[in-house]
Amino acid sequence: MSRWGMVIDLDRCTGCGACMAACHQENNLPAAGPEESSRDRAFHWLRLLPEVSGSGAEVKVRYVPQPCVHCDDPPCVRVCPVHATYLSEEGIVAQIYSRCIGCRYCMAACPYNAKVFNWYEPEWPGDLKRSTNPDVSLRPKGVVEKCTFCHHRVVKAREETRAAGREMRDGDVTPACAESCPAGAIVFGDLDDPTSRVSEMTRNPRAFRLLADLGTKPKVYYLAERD
Amino acid sequence: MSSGPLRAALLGVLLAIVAGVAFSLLDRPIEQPIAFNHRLHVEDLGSDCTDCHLYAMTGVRATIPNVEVCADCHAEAQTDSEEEALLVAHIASGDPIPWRKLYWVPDHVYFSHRRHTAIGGIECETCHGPMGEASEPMPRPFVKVTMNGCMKCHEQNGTSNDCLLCHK
Repeated sequence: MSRWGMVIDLDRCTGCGACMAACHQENNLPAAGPEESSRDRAFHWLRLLPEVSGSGAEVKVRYVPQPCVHCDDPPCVRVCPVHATYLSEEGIVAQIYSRCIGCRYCMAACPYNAKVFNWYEPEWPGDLKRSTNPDVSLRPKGVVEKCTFCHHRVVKAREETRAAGREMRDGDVTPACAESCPAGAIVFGDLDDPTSRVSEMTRNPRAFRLLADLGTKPKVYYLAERD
Repeated sequence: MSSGPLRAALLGVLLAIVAGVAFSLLDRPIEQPIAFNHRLHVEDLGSDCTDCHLYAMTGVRATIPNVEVCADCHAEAQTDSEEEALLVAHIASGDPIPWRKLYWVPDHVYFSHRRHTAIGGIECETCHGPMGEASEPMPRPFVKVTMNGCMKCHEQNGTSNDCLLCHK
């Protein structure tokens, strides 16, 4: 059984935002227009957190891509009254939309602000609805949603490998964000496989996790920038 | 005072009528544009399910055959059946046949035929019932598709019931 995880190398990330755009397209996130965005109604499963250091001519801005970090001890799961969010057998913090009652306890519990709520019925202007991904459901108004590590790709990859009569290999599953990254900054794989690329990267001295002291055991690792 | 029980009775009758209409609307029999005879094709002529439902072993959706599949055998009428004449007319015009789905899963469920047939080794009849014995279109599914049914089968076959396996 795999235990999926991700490593994001901040040294390679240029902050281009391709991961965000790919995530939107892959996971059927509705596009909010400028008016809705200005009212803070646009939402993302993967955000680029800006980090500004220095000032004046010495100012330095960098972006930290942050999806759901898929904690091994997720605070959101503990508070969900209807088992709509849970830790799957493969370590993915799942959100089952048809069970969600929209109480938003999980959003309050998440220290990473990784979950978003559908305050409105998603709108798909024109023919955009036809371009939605059939492997990902369209969430209705009133439910919480989040990054799933593109679990539909995991399901499909497993089906492909079983049909081919072989075991899963490192690199068989690539989430949309990792696939779209032109700098190759996002790597995805099985953390329990000591030979996987993602596993090797977590052993890098530059590796750290967001808010690690909270004890949530996130499965998204970052590699700090070199000086 | 005397109008109280009368009102209650009227309300009861009204509710019963509304419930009856709603039930009949929800549970309407499925009618097909052509009375396809599964028994003739499967039992008498020995066709396999995959001869017409082309992707039942290899795809996510088994697919309902349309004119191009039917045209392999019925470009010209082979019998004097009125239903076949309807089919031949559809093939000649190229208009897709508006078949109605008998089995379906909700939008939030991912169901792959290949995963169950080619990989899991499950026979079509397990979920679809003895469709090959039906000489007329079925007004309702042989087997009701429910989450309980899926989970029970998974349990019996030692397959995981992790929500993410099927829910998308």
